Amino acid sequence: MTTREHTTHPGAPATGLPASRERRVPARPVRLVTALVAAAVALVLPLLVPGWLGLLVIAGIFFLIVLGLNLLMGYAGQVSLGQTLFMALGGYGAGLLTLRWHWPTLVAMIVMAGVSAAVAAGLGTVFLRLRGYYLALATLGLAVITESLASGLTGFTGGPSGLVGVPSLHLGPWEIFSDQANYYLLLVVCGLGAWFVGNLQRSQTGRALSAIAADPAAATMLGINASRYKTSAFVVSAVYASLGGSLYAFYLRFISPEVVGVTVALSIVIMLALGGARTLVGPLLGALVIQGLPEVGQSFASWSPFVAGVVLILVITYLPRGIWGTVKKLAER
Amino acid sequence: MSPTMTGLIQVVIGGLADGGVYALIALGVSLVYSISRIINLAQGGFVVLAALLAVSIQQWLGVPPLVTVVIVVPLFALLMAVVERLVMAPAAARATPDRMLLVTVGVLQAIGGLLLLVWGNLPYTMQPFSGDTAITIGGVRIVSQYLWIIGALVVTVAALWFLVQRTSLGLTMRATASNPEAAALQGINVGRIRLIAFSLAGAMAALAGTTVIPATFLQFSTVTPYAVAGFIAAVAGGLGSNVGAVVGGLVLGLLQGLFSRYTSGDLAQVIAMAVLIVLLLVRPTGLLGKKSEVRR
Amino acid sequence: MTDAVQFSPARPSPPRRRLGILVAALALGAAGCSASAASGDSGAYTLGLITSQTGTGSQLGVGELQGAQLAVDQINARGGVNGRQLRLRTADDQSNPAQAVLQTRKMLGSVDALVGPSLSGPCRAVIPLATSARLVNYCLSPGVKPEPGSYQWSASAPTDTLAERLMEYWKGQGITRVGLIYTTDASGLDGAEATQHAAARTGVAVVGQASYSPSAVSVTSQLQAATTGRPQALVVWSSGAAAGVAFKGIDQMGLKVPVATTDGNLTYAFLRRIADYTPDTLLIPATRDFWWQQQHPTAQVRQLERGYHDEFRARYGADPDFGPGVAYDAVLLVARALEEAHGDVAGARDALQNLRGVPGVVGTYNFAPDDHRGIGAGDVGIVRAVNGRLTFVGR
Repeated sequence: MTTREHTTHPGAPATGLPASRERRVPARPVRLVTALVAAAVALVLPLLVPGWLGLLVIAGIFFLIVLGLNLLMGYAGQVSLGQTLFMALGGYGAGLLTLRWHWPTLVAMIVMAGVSAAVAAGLGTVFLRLRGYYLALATLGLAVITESLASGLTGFTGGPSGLVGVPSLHLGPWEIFSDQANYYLLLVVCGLGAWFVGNLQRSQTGRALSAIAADPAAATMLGINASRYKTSAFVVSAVYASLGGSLYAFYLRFISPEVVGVTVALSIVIMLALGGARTLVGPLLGALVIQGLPEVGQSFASWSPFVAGVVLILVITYLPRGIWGTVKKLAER
Repeated sequence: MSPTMTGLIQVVIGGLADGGVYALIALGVSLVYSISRIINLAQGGFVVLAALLAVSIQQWLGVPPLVTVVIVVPLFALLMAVVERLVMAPAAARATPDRMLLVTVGVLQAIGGLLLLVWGNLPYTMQPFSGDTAITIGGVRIVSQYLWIIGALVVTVAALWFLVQRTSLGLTMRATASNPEAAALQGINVGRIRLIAFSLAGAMAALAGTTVIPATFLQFSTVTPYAVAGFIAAVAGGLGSNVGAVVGGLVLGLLQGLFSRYTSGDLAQVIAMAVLIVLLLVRPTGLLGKKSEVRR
Repeated sequence: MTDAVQFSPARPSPPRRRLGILVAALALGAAGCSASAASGDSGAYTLGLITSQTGTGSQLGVGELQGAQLAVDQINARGGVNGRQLRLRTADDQSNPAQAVLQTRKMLGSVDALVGPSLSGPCRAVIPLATSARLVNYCLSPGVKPEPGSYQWSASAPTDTLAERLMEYWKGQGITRVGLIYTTDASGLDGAEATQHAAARTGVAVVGQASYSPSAVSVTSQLQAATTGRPQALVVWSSGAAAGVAFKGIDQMGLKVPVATTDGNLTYAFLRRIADYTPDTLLIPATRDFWWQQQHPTAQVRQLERGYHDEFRARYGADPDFGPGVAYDAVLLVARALEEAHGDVAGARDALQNLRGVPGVVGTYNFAPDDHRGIGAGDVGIVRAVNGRLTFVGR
């Protein structure tokens, strides 16, 4: 038993915590207040910056998708370059169901999320046996197949010109068309999504995933069924990607092969790495930066790809925890 | 020969020429991987950069296109060495292999961006090395530039074989490739060997770029298809296996050519990818690779 | 022991405080930037112009922006629209439909009409938004087919007409067998269909055809397929790099037949690029802005064309090509519609579709509720590309 003097922070949890929990955790009341402030700002944002709402909506959609990937890559350690497959299932699926067969939008979205989950479950058992680069390659192959099918099945998907006239999301009698409406919708959906992932990784499941990522052999010895957990993470990430894809199609009222192309598949992984895996804010930050960069670069859009590449290299090399992870680490000093 | 037969052979020839370029890219990826365990997705991007640079040099200096090869190849060997020192080495020292993949994605993105900045979004081409000549055998027309591409591949493979099997440097490289940690313990400067591997990969990329551009048009957006193709060929052929890389590249080019001629271009991609994925799942070491790379 | 070795999982990050700060900072920083939201002077009409300044469509988009600016300045110099100045609000859709939608959403509510985008994909994506906002949307791509009575217009001649003129011209030259290769993108598929129909209608046989991906590196096998039936002429319905690859292949194969391609390649930048590989006879169906000097239009048209061409050359130091022409006319027509509708944004649609006999540089426009293009066969001729210049050869 140690007899070190603890310099306690006012409001810090009482001593008796294991020594491994060294980081300072802000006290309950402080966290609640900041949560409320953040929520208040988020609610009022549309009035402050109406011109940026479109960007925020898109960033929110990608935040959702990257959050799902975070569970798979950040916590379970499986590299997937093929989330666009599920985006396409959600986007094209919901688009076709609502456009051609006049299904209600909400039902279409949920049904396609279920379909994506089933596909992920099926693919996962087979794919997730592969390791590292081979898994990356196989999922990259999925991304290429997705883009090619979206472009090639012209009669079905509208081909290279895409699917036009997808209706907006309807929640009961309300049509979610305007930027503001979409923004609030995304706020709710992302909040729920983040809450779910946060809970998951705090739970037994989350610890099991971390164990599998860190040392699969040890995890198996501890009785963790790695394959089942990995597939579950894959399924959850697929559902998130599918929902994101559906929301994207409803917002744009359009979807095309470019929206689910290989470039997008890579950018999803880039957003995660840039923002910081294994955190909740990291994906949001990554999404904002990657989606926002072309906006900033409207005047010099030709510089944007080059700058994006250089930024990525610098962040991955010198900021391994991503931007947010590094900020957190610095703030905890 | 019947028209369908000549048509088929024509497609095969075209596919092999494409495949030759993919093979050169895959060789670069495979070589770098075997030494450093880094999969350099940016290799395809360097090919396009070398190609456009060759075009500019040719126009600026007014030299015959073949001379640009002599200028660009050593230049690129140097360039890749610089990239290795500036970008790869610091990243490799700090990042896990999975994250290194993302660094190379960043390099690829940066190259594409650079191409867009300097050369704009227009397509570029160059005069063939031996003029607009072609050989016609029994109705099948083989453009002379295709022979240059295949020739470059043969020269590269031969030179690589000679280097690896017959020189002491090659021996050192093989040792490093099979077990980097043990090699380091034996006093081999692994960092220097990695630098050499990257330089060689740069030279290969330059060779691929300069020989292919007289046969087609390239532009900033070609980096992605080349990167993907090179990556696929290297991994399907078996990472670390030079022979596998060459076979993988040629087969990929062939399949693409056959399918896009007889079915549609998009479905060709789908089928090629599906075949690849099945191959990965069934025979994950690729055609000729080593088992240790694959499963957990 | 309570502090036995644990997995030490990542703590759920307590991001709220920092998230709040981040969001607040973002909001405050951006609030400053958003001050310019949709104010503008009350006395001006604003046209939203969305073009592809970057990406695959930029060959057209850059010229379109120039043509549109020229038109706006000329209109303002003449006194504007109903005495009010005309302003241009521009955006780049990066040749990407999703970007086009985003840029359009930003413009809704602060523009009186929408010109562009440059490519058919983005055009199609944008139309539902324009329709909801009841804004006239003059798409600069000929590749869209506007619904009758809708809010969408399409620029330049219809693909069917271009293909027909071409076939008729060749028929007149005694050509009855043609080959066809085309790209599998939207405009290629469109053109292929148009060519086949036009050939059937004029009694020309398509003796061989093949398609290829826009990013294909070589097309030798496709060319072989297209030439098996020994055609007397070849149609290459592809644009940009894909067309360049085809021309290179034709050159390498030693094919000497006349070659025709789509008017999407009617840019001097493209012609320069393929200078070494231009087929001996390269024909392109083109609208009046390319051959007005060699035929004899009315004095009014001649004056308009001269004013346009001379001032464009003076401003930008080059001859205008496809892009500037369609954008110039679009601005002209939309301004005219706003004038007739006295600024009523939704009423502009009715005004526009009732315009008849209005001369533009591309042709003379006769709109109708079921004709939102207004250009007909009389405005299409065939030009030949020789040494980077375009000369008229027939109708």
